[in-house]
Amino acid sequence: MEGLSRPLVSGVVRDNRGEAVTDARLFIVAGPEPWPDVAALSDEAGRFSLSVLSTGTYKLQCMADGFAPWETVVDVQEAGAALEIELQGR
Amino acid sequence: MPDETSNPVLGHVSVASQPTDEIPAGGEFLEPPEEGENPQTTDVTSEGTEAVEGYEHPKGPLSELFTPPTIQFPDIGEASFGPPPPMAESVHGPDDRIQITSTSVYPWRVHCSLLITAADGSRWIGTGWFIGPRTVMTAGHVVYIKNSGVPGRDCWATRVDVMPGRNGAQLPFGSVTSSNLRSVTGWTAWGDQNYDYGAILLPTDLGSRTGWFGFGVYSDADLLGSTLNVAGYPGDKPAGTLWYHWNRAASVNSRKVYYDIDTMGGQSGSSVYRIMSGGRYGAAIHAYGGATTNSGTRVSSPVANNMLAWKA
Repeated sequence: MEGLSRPLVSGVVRDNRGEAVTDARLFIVAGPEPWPDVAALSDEAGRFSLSVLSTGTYKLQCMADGFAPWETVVDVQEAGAALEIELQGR
Repeated sequence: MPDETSNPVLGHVSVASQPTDEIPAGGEFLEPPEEGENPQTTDVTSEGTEAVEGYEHPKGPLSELFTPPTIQFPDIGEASFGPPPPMAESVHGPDDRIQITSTSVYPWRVHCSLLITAADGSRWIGTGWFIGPRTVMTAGHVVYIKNSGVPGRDCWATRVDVMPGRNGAQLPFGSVTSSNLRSVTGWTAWGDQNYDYGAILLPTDLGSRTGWFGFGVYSDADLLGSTLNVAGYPGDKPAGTLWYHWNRAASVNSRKVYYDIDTMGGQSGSSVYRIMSGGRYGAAIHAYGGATTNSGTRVSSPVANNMLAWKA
């Protein structure tokens, strides 16, 4: 059932004490071509991964209730990109 | 991928996550809405939008909306720093969405917050909308993950939790779980964005309580002259809250509708709908964010045929 492989943005979400943040919402807000308008949720270890349609520069946002919004611009290559996200309390 | 341009109907062959004996339907393509039990239906405006108390489109009434130039002007910052990477967002300009809190009344309760569990255990959020007592319409990539690049993920979702009319922690109609899903070969086999639509079939007739939207097949001229409405559950707002925005259609082609309506990740699957004679009719299924316009899969005749079959 596997199809084409897309570049993958993966990583982990933690709070400022280093503890995993579960159910943080991660999504693309800008990119070089249209992107699926879904949001990934981080798992119990704070991990997430979402694919993008092509290589290029993307803006990603991470939101979790009780934390300030987090945003970054990342250059995604064929091998993907890895993010370490530290959320700050509001 | 086969040459779908020579036979585009191939892409609309319905496929299911579970065995089915449904028969593709045909015929009329203006399917009426139903408002459900004790709807307390909210008002609409003469411009084809929802009348939300205290909300005026920040850009003014439709008749005064600024038509953006088709030429791209450079940002003033480019004069000093050179051109930036392409970073236009799916919220275009000011964020014009407004939160809807009266989610237990029609039409807002038709919209569903979705929690999707993929085959690899990863979880996602999306949006759906009732088109019948047991049928929730959504994007294809909400029910069937395609080309993810993650081993074990590309497949039907293993479960979808459907929460109609959710307002944060409030679930006025509870939550229903389903793994009985529908999409079409154009999405599940080819991963073609032009066929990115699907449905969730519920084990209960919860839609009889919430009501549902109708849907219709419209001409290009109809769509381009219409106000389009979108409500959904975006990830950039407090969890599980419903947000609404409207605007004119920006452009259409035979399979897609493009619009400058603000959306964000989590709104995939939202209804892109028209209001006619007080009734709400889906015209597209929102699926993609974009730099200048966002877009959805157009309810064309083959799409409407499948929607009719899936709500039967």
